[in-house]
Amino acid sequence: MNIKTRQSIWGLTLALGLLLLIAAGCGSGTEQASGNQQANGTQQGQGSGAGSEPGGQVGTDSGDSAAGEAGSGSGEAAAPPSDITVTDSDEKAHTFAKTPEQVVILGSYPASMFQALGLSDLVVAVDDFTKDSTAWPPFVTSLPSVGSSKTPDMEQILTLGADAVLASYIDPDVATKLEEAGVPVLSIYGYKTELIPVELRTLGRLFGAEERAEAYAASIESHWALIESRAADLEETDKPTVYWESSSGAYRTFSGGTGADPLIRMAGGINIAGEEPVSNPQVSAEWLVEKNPDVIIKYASSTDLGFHGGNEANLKDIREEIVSRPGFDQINAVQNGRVYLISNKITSDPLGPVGLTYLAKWLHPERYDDLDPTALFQDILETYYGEPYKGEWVYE
Amino acid sequence: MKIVADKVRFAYGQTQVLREVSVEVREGEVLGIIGPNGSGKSTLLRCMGGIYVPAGGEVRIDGARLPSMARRARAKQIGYVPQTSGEEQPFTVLDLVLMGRRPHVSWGLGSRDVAIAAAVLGELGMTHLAGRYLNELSGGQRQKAHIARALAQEPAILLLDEPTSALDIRHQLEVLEFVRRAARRDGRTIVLVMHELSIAARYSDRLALLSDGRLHAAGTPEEVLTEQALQEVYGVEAQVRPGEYGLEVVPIRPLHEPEAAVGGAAR
Amino acid sequence: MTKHGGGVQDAAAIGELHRKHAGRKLLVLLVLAALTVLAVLGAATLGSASLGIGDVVHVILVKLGLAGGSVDALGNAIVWELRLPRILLALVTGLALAGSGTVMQGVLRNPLVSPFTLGLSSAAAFGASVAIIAGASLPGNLRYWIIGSAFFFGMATVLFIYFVASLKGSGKATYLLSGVAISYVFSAGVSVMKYVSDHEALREIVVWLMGGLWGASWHVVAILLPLVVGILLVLLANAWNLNVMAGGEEVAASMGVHVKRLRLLVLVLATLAASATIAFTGIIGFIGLMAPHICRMLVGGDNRYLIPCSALMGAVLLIVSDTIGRTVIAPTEIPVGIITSFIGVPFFMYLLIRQRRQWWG
Repeated sequence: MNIKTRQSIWGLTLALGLLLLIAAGCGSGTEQASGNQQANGTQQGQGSGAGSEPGGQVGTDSGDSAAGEAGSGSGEAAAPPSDITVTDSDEKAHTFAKTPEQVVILGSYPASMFQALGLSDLVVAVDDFTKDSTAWPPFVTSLPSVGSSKTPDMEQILTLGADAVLASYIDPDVATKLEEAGVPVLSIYGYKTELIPVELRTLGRLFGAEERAEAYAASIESHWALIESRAADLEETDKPTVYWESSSGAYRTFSGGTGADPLIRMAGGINIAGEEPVSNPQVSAEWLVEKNPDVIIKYASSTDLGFHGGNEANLKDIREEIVSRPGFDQINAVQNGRVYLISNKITSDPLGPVGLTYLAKWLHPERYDDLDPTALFQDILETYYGEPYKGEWVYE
Repeated sequence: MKIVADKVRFAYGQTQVLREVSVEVREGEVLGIIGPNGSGKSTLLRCMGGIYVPAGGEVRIDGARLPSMARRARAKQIGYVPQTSGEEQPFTVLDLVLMGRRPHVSWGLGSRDVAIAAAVLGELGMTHLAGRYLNELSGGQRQKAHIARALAQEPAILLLDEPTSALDIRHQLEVLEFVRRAARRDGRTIVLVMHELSIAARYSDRLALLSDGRLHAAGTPEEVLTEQALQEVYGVEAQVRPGEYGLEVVPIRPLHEPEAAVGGAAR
Repeated sequence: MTKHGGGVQDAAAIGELHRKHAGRKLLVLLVLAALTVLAVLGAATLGSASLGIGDVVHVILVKLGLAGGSVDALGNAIVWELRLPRILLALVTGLALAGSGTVMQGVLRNPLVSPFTLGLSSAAAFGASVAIIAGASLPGNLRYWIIGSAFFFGMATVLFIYFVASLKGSGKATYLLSGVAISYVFSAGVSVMKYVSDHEALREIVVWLMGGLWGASWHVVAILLPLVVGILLVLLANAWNLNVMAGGEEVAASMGVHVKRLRLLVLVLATLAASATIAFTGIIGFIGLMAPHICRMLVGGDNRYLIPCSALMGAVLLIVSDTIGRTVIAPTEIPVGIITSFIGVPFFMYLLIRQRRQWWG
């Protein structure tokens, strides 16, 4: 998928999401409905019950949007408890008569969000990879698995009596079949940086955890704002160039529209592959050498960095492999020892502010000297996840 | 050079194909091997060529046992032409004939090799076809090209498996005349597997008649090709009479209960 | 025996014909060798980095000790450390795949045989997938596990097919059918691997399956080049034996070739060359099938010319394809396997249609 398509889909998703948030009304039928939610800086107040129509129409028809505009900022007292309509990250609207209580989660990112929103009790099953390999958040390890996150066992999902499936990678055909069987499937990615606060709020609204969702989403956004504000006065020439490599395969990087790209921008850096038309391009080595990035970031997989600690020997090998590639001795990042390994669990993830802080400190040590990523991480884990800080997250 | 098959036994898996067959071919002699389908003719020829190793008995050329000979040395003495397979790889006639020089060269071909190939082609009347690719030729021309390849090997012993099966009558005669001359004039030892009994009788000095893996009879055509033998081995009623150009075998009708088992293994 | 009379002219004519044919084959070989050199040099001047031809030539000359002066570090890194090893890896991979395809076709007397149709590639892909999935649980560098595993499965498959065929009798269909069957099994195995793998491993498998030459370094070239060239020389030394095989196994046997031994030797060596390169580059399709056929149209079936011509043809095709792959939407690289299919197949079809002669029936 190229950058333009991605951007337009994002744009559409955001626009539609916004529209729906305004229009469709939210939370009015749930116990935790507590009137208006606090909006973040970029989005308008929401909580109108007026636009919500029984019968579950999606929010894209004209009546709804008109109602949404009209009802913006108004209270919800007049509306009776009714359907909840939310739009997922694939711009698909879903209407629920009541808050789902049996949820199957396919993907560790939405699972992570569920823990952060205090909703882990609703989850009845996850996928193999989340359960066995990511094993985060902790509650997933004790749940049954429905198989692959792409093509889960549909019968098992139905047997479990799931009333919603949240998925990051599900095969569209499987999703369609599940929907036909009466189980709504919501796309919640959790790894697309700019969508994360939106998705948190969507989940909060659907599952009646608006306050917590808003608090978490707002804290993420305010952290972004903090990092961005300190880099705001940088001249282009003062911004270090960054090459960010995937954990799967040498020379595979991230262009605009991926989860890593906005983090580089926020931290006052320039993604050397930011303008490439392919989202995960395999770039040529000589181009990289000629581009001469100031900083190289490499994703380490969860077995090398993460809650279970760091695998020192592997990490050393991975960095050694990078710096010893042919011609890399000419690259600034290698010459100046600015090659870093980082877990993707703290970057394009709901835990992203932590990775962003590390990144900012690597790119501009002098500007972010006072920030402590570990303390921030500890705070996020304790506040939202109720988990103690542990593990190794970067290799510097 | 003389070639002897001495009590040769051979089996494909469990199927006995040759049961102690002994034949002897003297220098300058043409031996025709005849027999019904599946009687072991081609297998015997392959054993004599060292292509198959007999399960029992042995093949000797001028007293030397075949397995004891180096492969290359054996190939200089024995040339073999299989039945035409009908499919050809991208070689010209000249390529193919020069291939016959394989046992004599290690890498490059010298002018002597080319001269020998030219002589063989000239003798078979194929000079004008030398540059043609094999699959552009008729079946008969192709058969002759393969024979030319074996001749370029300059073998003392030449083994031919149904060399005329693909040929029209003119080409049949041409090839067989040539083969006979190779025996008479050049003193080569020739073994032919043949189907056509009259032709076999006419061009062979001696015949070996195989029946179900056994040697039924061996000797001059007149000794071997009797009406009784045809009845016993082939299960046909036939008339055999001497003619101006050798024996004439006229098949009349199949017998309803052939006395000899026909069939057995293919090949 | 109509033309029996003209012996002397005949001999002269045949001698002339032989010289002409041999001369033409030699010419094709020399042209291909020249093309290979040109392809290497041409590819060295092309790339996403903005270096002029003069800079490139200067770096190469200085590094080869053919010119004085010094080279700047960037030019050295790009030309000497990155481009040349990669071009040489393309060269050696092309040599290996096309050379092994040629001799496999020859020794099995089958035009459809290649490292792919024998199931070697699927097996190697399966081996690589296993290693990729096992990934982190393996000690040491994963790269070498992938290489070793790919090689192991490739070799095991060819040996397995060989022994099936020697039990069953070496009918032409036996090899191809066993190869196809094995391919299916291993393809299914790869699908299972893809199915059960997580997203990162999946992407790595997909990348590996597409094939590419970015893993190039002098180190890799130093491993592969002597191996592949050595194997090709041994195969070339068997060119006569392979030629004789063209007349059939019986003819070959009658001409002193130990058919079974030749077949085993050729298959093992060809597999070794192919799977060693596949292990470093991933699966690069079609070269092993296409190059021998193109060259058979050009020089005929004489393996003394066919083996070196095909090998060089494979090298040229792969160098050109990879150069296109790394320059056409630079700096993003297109896996070379995609390019070989895109430019190779139409070219091949064109030759196939234009060619009047059809080999093997």
